[in-house]
Amino acid sequence: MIKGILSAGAIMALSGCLGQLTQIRDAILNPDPEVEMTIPRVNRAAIEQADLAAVLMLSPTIGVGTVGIAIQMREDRINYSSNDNRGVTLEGGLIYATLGLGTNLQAVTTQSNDPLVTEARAGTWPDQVTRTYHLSQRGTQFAQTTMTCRNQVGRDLVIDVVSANRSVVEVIEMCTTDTGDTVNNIHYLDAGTGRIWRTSQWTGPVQGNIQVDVIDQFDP
Amino acid sequence: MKRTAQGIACTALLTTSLASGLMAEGIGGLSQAIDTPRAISGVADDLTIIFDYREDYRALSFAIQPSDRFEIGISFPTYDEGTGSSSGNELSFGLRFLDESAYFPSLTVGVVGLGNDDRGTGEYLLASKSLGPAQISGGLGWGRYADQTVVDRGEDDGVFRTDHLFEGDTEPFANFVWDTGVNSLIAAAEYSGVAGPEADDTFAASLSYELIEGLRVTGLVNNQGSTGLRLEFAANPRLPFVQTDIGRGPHPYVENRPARAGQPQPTEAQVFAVLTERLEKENIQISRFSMRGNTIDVTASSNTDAVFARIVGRVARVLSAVAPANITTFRVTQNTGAFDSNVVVLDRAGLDRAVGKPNAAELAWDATSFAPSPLNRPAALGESAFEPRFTYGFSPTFKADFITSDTLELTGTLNANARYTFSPQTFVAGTIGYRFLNQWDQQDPPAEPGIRSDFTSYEPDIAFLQSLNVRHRFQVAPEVFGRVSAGYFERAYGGISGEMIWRDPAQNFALGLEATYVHKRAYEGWFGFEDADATTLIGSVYANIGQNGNFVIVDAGQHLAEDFAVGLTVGRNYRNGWRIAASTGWSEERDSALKFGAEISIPLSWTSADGGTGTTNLSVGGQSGDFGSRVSGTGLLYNELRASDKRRIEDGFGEFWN
Repeated sequence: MIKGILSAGAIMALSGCLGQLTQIRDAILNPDPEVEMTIPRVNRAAIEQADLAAVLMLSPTIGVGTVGIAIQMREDRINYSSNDNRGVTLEGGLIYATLGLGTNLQAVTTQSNDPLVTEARAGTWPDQVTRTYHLSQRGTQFAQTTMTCRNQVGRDLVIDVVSANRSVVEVIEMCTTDTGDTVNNIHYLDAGTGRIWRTSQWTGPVQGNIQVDVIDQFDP
Repeated sequence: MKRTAQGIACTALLTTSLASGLMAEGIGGLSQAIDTPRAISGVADDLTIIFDYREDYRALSFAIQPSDRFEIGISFPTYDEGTGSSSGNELSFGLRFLDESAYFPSLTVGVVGLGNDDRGTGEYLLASKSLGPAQISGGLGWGRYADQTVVDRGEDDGVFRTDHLFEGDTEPFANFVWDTGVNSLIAAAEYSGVAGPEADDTFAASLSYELIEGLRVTGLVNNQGSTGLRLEFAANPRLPFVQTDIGRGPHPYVENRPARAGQPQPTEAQVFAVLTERLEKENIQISRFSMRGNTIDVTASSNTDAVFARIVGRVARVLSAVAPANITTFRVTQNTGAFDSNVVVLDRAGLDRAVGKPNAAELAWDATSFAPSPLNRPAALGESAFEPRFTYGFSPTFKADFITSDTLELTGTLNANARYTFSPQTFVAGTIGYRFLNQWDQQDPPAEPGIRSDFTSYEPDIAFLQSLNVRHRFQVAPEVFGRVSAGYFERAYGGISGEMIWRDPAQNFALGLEATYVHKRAYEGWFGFEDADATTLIGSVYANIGQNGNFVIVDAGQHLAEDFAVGLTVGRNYRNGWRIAASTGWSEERDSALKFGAEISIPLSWTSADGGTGTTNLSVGGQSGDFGSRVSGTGLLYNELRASDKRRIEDGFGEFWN
């Protein structure tokens, strides 16, 4: 009897959590359209044939979607840049910097075992990760916002990433900044390797979340 | 509640002739509920412009917050008292000296109305506590917040005094401000122990609605028979209405690599061609380019970007990709139109070390130095002969004016401007104005022409020649700039003017000296003069102090009334083109400070994603009396050079990599 009650309670609690996770995921991936989003058509075949590492970058707050090609590697970070020089810098799966997608993110510093950077498989992530976001302000020193993120592993599923089906594991990060604000990140990790296929990460208080879909992974 | 016999007698005597002019309207631009103060709730750099309009009271107020807990208000109120009017010119301060905590309220102290000749000051001490979307405040007031009659506090025969502060009778006040969360409506109610014409205590209520982001209109009413409207514009130069980086991104930076043996290197012409083509896409123009030895020298400008540090960064990014490997230094020259005012010198290896780092802007600044532009430079690519040109246009100006009006009136003038530019250094320009909104009543000219106080003797209701003068700017030495001007400078004066300014780009200050000889212009007609002349000789120190764009300007010397006077302007320049300044002065002919003035420039790029280097300028107050006044319109050089101040460029260096 007790076991049944506990099981029922656990199911209810879990379903409550899952419900919350679903809400968070839907809110992140389907934000209120502040502006109309224009998503470019992507010629996946051409990108794969040319063996280019490429990402699709979406900035909901300004309605810009653009494709970036890997053009530089600097200190293990890959710069993806579009024709009009909009871009992201990825450190593993962490969005380290952005350009031309709203209000530029200058850099993110994080702990050495940040699972986004090491591209750790879901389930092996540390309980929480602390990251510091650097944004320009008056003067030469960047403003810093530090946030701590707890993570929760969600469902295994297959998603369409720019016309390719990927088997992924959903991981949601619930983050709190040093000023008490809360934001969320959502990541879809390759079920086998832990590499990011799709991620939506907070990149600043004005720019909000940027979504990156990996069209073709960077393999040196 | 204290009620003195004198106060009651005065109330009985004046009730019939005075309405709400007896009460303390507003609090000089500081944080307020309706007419009583509340705790400072904004953040550093918040700016508010408030216009109060009531039947017998109008006021234009500016408030700025130098820090999260300190605010300064400058207010220009006028009171219509039935039998006449009075106007003030007030400086106010508020300080939240204890922050609110979970169980305790914040504590704020304030002084309102310093410098007001007619109304005296008011002081207050208040406690304030937030309760969800509401804030409740209560406190005690002195001076104008305690006495129902006008009490002369703070001025004694023109001598500014402080021994009255927080002295005398007190009255309580309390207010409640509630953000309803419905359609941006904010409701407020307040109580004040100050009596009015219709009741011994004053109760007031207001409802406020945000028309568009930053612009709020408030309707207010009290039990003393007063109703009014308040228009409030609130902004923070650090927090633009638009996202800042939505356009084309910058060119990727490429670290320098030693050239391999036999690897061909681009020529000067090739580098120039690629640089010009790529920067053109970013709305950056190159007007001069040279590549000699290990240095590339570029003169760059943008019609859309007011942040020169970002222009420099974008130039450096392209050069990093196209410059030959032996180039170690990028020199980016800033041109003001008349002068090459600055050279920003970038160490290429230092930029290589900075790019992509979490402190990339700081490292880039470390790789930066400043130098004056040489007086003569050899011919270079991109240079073109200047074509003389004629330009013209119309510009309306609106001004809150209390010089030609007894009450604060909005005046409008339509200006027709024309300019013929002979060379980058020399032009002749003229402006014909017509005041189409709120003309003044012409007064008989005084027996002896005045300095400024006779302005209403000039003829209204006509198109008038505001200015017509020729101006030539020249560089005497790399750090010394000069100017001569001649003609009609402003409505009241015409003559000749000369100026020299010393300014080393590596320093944070400049020194200037202006000598002007003028005649008083005729009250009637366009070109004549009255039989009065004046000579001014004014030295200036322009100093950037403290952090980034903060500045102080001190002017001292002989002014128009042949009085020795000192002017003080303090302000803050922001990286995005915002500029906020306040000014005052002292004259040997007056024991107290002269009137206060305020000026604000808001860049178009702050309100529109399309950007642009233009600004909307607001100014009020400033020189209006006869003493401590100088000729305007002569073309002070520092107004052209200040965009090149090292501190100002440093202030924008956070945008270097953007």
